[in-house]
Amino acid sequence: MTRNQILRAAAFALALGAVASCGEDDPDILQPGPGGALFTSYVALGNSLTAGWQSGGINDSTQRESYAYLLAQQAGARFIIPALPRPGCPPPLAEYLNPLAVVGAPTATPRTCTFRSTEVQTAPINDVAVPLAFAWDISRAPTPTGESNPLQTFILGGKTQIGRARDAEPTFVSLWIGNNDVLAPASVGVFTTVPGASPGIIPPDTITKYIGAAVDTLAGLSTVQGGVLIGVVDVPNAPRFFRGSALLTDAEFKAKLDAAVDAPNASRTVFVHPNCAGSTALVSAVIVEQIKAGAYPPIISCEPNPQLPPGFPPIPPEARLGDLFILSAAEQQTLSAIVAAVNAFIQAKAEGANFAYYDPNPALAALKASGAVPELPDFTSPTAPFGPNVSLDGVHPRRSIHVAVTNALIGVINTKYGTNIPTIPSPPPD
Amino acid sequence: MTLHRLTLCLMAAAGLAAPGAARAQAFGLNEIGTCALARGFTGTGAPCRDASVLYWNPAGGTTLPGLSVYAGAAAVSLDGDFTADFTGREENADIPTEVPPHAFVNYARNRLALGVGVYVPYGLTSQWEDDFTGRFAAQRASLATIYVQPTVAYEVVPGRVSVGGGPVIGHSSVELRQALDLSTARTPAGITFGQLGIAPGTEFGRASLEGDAWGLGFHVGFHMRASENLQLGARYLTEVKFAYDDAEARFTQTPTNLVVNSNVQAPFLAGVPIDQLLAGQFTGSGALTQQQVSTEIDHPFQFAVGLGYTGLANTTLALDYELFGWNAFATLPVNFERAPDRSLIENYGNGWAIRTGVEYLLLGALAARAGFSFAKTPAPAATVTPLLPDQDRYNYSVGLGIPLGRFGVDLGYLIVDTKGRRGRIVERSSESQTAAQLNSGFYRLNANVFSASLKAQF
Repeated sequence: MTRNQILRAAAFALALGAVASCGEDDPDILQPGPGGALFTSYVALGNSLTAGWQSGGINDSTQRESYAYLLAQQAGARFIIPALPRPGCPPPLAEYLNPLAVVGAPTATPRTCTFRSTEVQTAPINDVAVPLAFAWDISRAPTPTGESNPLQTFILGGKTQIGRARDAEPTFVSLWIGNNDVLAPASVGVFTTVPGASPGIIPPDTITKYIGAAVDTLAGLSTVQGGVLIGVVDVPNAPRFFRGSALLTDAEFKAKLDAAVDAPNASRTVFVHPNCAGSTALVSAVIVEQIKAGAYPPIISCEPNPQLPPGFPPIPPEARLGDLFILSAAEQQTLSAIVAAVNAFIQAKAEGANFAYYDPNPALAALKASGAVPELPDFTSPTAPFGPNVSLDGVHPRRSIHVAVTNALIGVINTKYGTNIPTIPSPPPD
Repeated sequence: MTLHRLTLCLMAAAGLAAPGAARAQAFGLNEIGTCALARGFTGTGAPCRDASVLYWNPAGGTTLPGLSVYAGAAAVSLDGDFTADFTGREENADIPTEVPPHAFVNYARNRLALGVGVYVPYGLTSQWEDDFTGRFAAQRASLATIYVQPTVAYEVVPGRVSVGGGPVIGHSSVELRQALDLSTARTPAGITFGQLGIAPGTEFGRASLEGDAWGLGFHVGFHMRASENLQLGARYLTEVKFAYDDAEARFTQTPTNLVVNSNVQAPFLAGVPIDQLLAGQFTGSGALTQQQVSTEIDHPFQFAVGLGYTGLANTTLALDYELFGWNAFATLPVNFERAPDRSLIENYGNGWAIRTGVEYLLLGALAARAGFSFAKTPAPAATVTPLLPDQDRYNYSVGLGIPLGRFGVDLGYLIVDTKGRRGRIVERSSESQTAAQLNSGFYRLNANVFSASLKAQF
């Protein structure tokens, strides 16, 4: 090989190398999946349903069964949760009507509250929902009012849900809020404010004011390209509530109630007042838990101020027989009207913001109609009193219903935005 | 502490400035002499005919008759950025152009050569915008290590075999500026603020660390003219430990404007401003007040072998292989007088480089040079950080050597190219954390280097 050939070869090799290095290679970064650019950053706001609460508690296992987490997985979006390691904060119940049987027992107790996980977090959290949040909590700044829910701190770390949402620079948001605003007074059946017991009925104008402000703020974020708003659950659809009349017409149902409660009286049964015959009142299953715990007398009345049989032991007035834990027909109509008004507002807000809207109530009613959610609880079942698809608190669904919600949301999102997010291949809840 | 007068003169002559960040590997620098730079950093087997041979092969001083002086500098212009996953947000580095100098003097007579070299084998400047997402690892980091190397070489076999070597007296200075991340700070109860819900990347202060240290090592070389047209060479530069024992740390508080959401446990009660809880750390005898800090950085050994072929008229072909003992860079301990000590997990392995170069004498005098080298990064996948986003390097160089009688000038240009590499912006707090868990984006890095050296031969 001659000198010139060598030099030419060297020059060529250098030039080739230089050309090979010219132009920037595309960065090797993780990209959104089927959800596309819309799901570059998905942030979910809301309450316990979104956070992943089940069976009266929450941990990183239940957090990963929330519809928000599942939606992110299907969209191929990064979704960082504020992971709460097992047993949880508090740990979910492991056995119905046994408050000491929690996940992680015996070392864990109902008062256990694990701190946030130490696992590395490379970006802001995407699930900023806080259990027990009301509509006004979405934007409410921390105040020295003696807030006792540690999850507000553990999840939000000194900011509001809106503040944490901003940190994640969302391109897509979901908001499911307002459920506690109606469920809290409904679960105790008291629509007036009773400190420590009921927040009282919250006017729909109040609920919509805060939801509207939250939607306006989220839609106004420069990074947001889309979102979905989810309607409030109509209280009668919640598995926690059952027909009081069934206690007189369904002997097996009544027998199971008695067996589960094992009332501390001579008959070891719960007295069901005759006013439940033909009644349209709904009974909150919370009364069963209270009777079992000895915190409420073993009496169920479907009307207030019932006449008790002669010789009946005196009942303290604060028991508010026929009122506490009971939803009369009128109260049910009030709640349904509030839910309808709020949902109409939410739907209109979604349209105005060019967000999708999903009303979960038809699907939840269908689940009850099909038997996937039993019409009547089985109080003797330690692991599935409200059926296999609802957790032990009678309100929060298990994964199967979260999957159904996820697939429904995917449907409305794909329709609204032309995305091609695949649904979760799963049989419908039995 | 003072420097030897001769060293001071050489530094003044070289216009000493902080070294740059176009490094061989990790924080190694090869911009030590323009001829070698232009020839792809080859010089162990076939040393350049200038006094930089004291570095490239300490035995090579015997190949330069008389008095040789060689001095210059390289201007290193770095460009880099970090692109985050999913969002694709790009954040640019903000690295100033640095100019590492070099200066060598060699005198050879009667099979013996004496010389002294001043050069910068290790240096680093990493700098990002003030609001860079990774500022909690480093917003600015600088390391400048200068070696002074008196050298003696001897022709064991006249005209054929030489050996040489000498001590290496090193001086190193470090600087680190970073933001403090509240999520990783510990509460008095022992848990981190992150476990209380404080988000990662919540800046609550800034830290500035500065220090310097001395170290001692040794550099030896072997050179052989195996035949009329074939040269062989080898060198070994020992690891040098630098203990920065009297470094200083300063801290300032940055408001977070966060308020505790709800009652957790005293003092974390609803409505309490978090900045109020932290203020005491920055005043009086608090953990984050001005204090002494110490750290230790082991500068790795270098072992190189090379060969040179001059069988083609007016042409020198060179091939070098070098191994760097970067596995000495396992952890970076940072021990504070009052603040919690830290130990940064680095876990470097050894690195290596293969280098090729060619030099052709035009008209028997003007030297045209070109080279290519590949440097394998010693940084594992979990240690690609804002402090040092190290990655494999492809170095392309060209240059000219212009004779001017007894003097000469060497000019060189180098492109440092990389393919980019995934990396992290968060601290690695445990060996069990994997690169997949830690890395959240992609670092790109390249550099342009212009080098010039003046040569004198008497």
